[in-house]
Amino acid sequence: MNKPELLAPAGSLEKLKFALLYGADAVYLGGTMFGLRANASNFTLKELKEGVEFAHNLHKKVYVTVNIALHTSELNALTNYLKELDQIGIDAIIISDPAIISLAKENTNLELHLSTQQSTLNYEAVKFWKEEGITRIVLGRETTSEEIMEIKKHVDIEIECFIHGAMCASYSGRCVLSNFLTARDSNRGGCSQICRWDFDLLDKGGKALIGEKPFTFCTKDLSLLAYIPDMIDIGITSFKIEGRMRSIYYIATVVDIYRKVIDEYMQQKENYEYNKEYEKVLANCANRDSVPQFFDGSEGVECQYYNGRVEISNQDFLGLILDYQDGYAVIEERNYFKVGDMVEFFGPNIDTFQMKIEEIIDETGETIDIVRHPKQVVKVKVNKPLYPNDFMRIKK
Amino acid sequence: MKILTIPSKKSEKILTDGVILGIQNLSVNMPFYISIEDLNEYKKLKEEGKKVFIMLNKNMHNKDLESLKKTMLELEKYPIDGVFYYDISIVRLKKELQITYPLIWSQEHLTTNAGTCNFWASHGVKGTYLSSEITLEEIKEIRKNTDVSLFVNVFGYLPMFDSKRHLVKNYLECFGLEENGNLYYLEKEGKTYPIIDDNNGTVVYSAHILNAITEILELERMGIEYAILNSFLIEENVFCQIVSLLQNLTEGNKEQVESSVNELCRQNVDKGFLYTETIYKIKGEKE
Repeated sequence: MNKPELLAPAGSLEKLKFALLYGADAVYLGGTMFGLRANASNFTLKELKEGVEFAHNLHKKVYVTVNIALHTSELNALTNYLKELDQIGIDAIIISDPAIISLAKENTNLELHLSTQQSTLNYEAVKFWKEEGITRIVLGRETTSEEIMEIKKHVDIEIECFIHGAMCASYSGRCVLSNFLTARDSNRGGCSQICRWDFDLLDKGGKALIGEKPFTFCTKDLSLLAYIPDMIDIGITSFKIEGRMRSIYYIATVVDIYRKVIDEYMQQKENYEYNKEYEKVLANCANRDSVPQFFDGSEGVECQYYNGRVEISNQDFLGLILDYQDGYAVIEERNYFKVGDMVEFFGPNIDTFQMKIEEIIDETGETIDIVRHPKQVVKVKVNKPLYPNDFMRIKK
Repeated sequence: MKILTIPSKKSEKILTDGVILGIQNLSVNMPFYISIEDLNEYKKLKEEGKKVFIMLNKNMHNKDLESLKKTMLELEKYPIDGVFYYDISIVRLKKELQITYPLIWSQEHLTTNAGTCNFWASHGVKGTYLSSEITLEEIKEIRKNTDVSLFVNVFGYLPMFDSKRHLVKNYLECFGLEENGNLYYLEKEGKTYPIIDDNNGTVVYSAHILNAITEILELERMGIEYAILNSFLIEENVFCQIVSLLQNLTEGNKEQVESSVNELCRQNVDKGFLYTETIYKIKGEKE
C-alpha cells in the first residue's frame, strides 16, 4: 500500500510555504496566465522559481495549473510559457485542453496531469488519456468510491481526488452562469460564483414556488476526512484540498489535520481509530458546512444550502508565532484575545497543546490584559517552546 | 452551408437540412430523447436527402458504458451522418468497436480553439460544435486554422449550466413543495431562465433567445459548414416562420429579417457572445 500524496492549494508564495511546512507533499498553483483562478494572487515566473526551489529542498513537488479553455490566439504564447515552466523545473502541469498535450510533448519534458475540468468519470475515458501520455487524472467530483475502485481495476494510472473544500454545483466545465450573468468567463478563470446567488423559482405556469428560503444552486463543501482510510485502501494516488483563495491559517489547519489522519492510518492500519476531534478543528476553521458529497453515494438534498448558509467570519485564528524567547512567544495578533482565554497552539514541529493565557506584554514592555489591534505584536507567556509560523487559535 | 434543427418534439416537421436528436439516457440538454428504434421514423428524412445527427453528450459514468457501447454499435445500422460527443470515452470506443460514422467534438463550453479541433482531428474526429461563448471573430480565427467541419448555434435558448444534482427537486423536497413536471423557471433581476430537472440532473438555459439568424450570411462566407437552430421552448408556428425567414435571407433583406425574428420572439433576444468578449482576468495584475 503506497502512501498517498497530500496536495494543497497555494494561492501565493506565502501559502505555498505554509502548505509545505504543515505537511503537504505537493502544492498546486496558478501562474499569471492560463490558470482557472484569475483572482488568486498567482505566481510570477520569479516567484514560481522561488516556490519550486523551496519545495524541492524539502523533497516536495509543485504542479502548475494550465487549465483554462484556450482561445486560438493564445496558442503561440502558450508554447513559450510551457517552455519557461519546464526550465523552472516544475513537476507537472494540470491541463484540461488537450491542445496542450502535443505542444507540451513537442516543446518540453513536462509531466501532464488532466484537470477535473474534463469531468473524467469512467475508465474508458481514463484509458484514452493514458494512451495520450497523461500520467495522472484528477477525477470529476461526481465519482463515488465504487466508481473510483472500478476505474482503478481497469486502468493502472495515478488517480487524484478532491478531499476537502468548495464544490461546483455543476459538472466542472459545464457551467457558464458567470459568462451570461456577469460577463466573466468561468472556464477562463473568471467564475463569479453565481451558484451562491438566490433566485426566485417559478413553475412552468409562472406560479412562484416559495420555500422558507429562496432557491439557490449553493452546495455545501466537501469533506472526506472520515473516508481517508477507504481512499488509501482504494489506492488513490493524490488527495487534493481545494482553496487557492483561502488564508494561510485555513491552509495550515486543513493540511495539518489531513496529514495527521493519513499518517495515523498508515502507521497502524489494524488499530486505527478515527479521531472525531479533528472534525471539530476543521469545522471551526471553515465558515461553511461540509459533507462527503458524491463519494459515499449519498448526494441529495442534504448536500445543498437551501436552508440558508451561515458564513461566519472566522475568529478562531488569534495569532501567528513570530519567535519564542525565554518562555515567551512573540505573537502577531490576527483576532482579539485576552488574559484568561483558553487557547491552543499548533505547528509542524510541535504537538498541539492548550493553555490558559496568563500574561501578555506589549511592545513597550507594559503588561496588558487585552490584545485588540490588528497585527499588534505582543509577548505571551508560554511554558512549552514554539517556533516561527506556529499558530495560536481559540480552544473551543 | 446546411441548417440543422434541434426539434422540440418527436413529431415536429423538419423544414431545414437536417436534425440533431438526443438518445434516452445518453444525451442531455435536449428537448426530448428517442430510443434507437425511434430512429426508423427519421429514415424518411435521409430519403429526402436530409442529415440526421445524434447527440451523445452526457457525462458518462462507468455504469453508462455498456449501454453506450450497445448504442454506438446499434447506430451503425442506421444511415446517420455523425455523433456529437462530450465524453471522451466515445472517441476510444469508436476505435475499439470499429465504428464508421463520424464523430463531432461537442464539449459545449470548451470547444473554443482551433488547436483542440486539430487534436481531435488527429484522432479521426470530423467536426466541432463550437462553444456559444466565443465571438464571431474567434469563430473566423478557428475556421482559418482547422479543416474540420464547424457547427455554430444561431438560434435558440442556450444551455448555461449542467449538473448531476437534482437541484429543483431537492429544493421542493426540502420545503415540502409539490413537484409539477420537469420544466421550471428561475427569476433574477428581471430576467427569467428556464430550468429543467429530469432524470439526468439539472440544466439551466439562457434568459434570452440567441438570434444570430442574419449572421448566417457571414458564417457562410467564412466557410462554416453547419448552422444550428434549437426550437426548444419556441412555439411551433413561430419556429416555422423563423425558418422560412432564414430560407429567404439575403444581404438585401437582412435588417428586415432581423427585425421580424426579434418581433416573433417578442424581443426576448440577444446576440449571445458573438460581439461580446467575456472578461478573462478581473485584475490587471502581475505579468
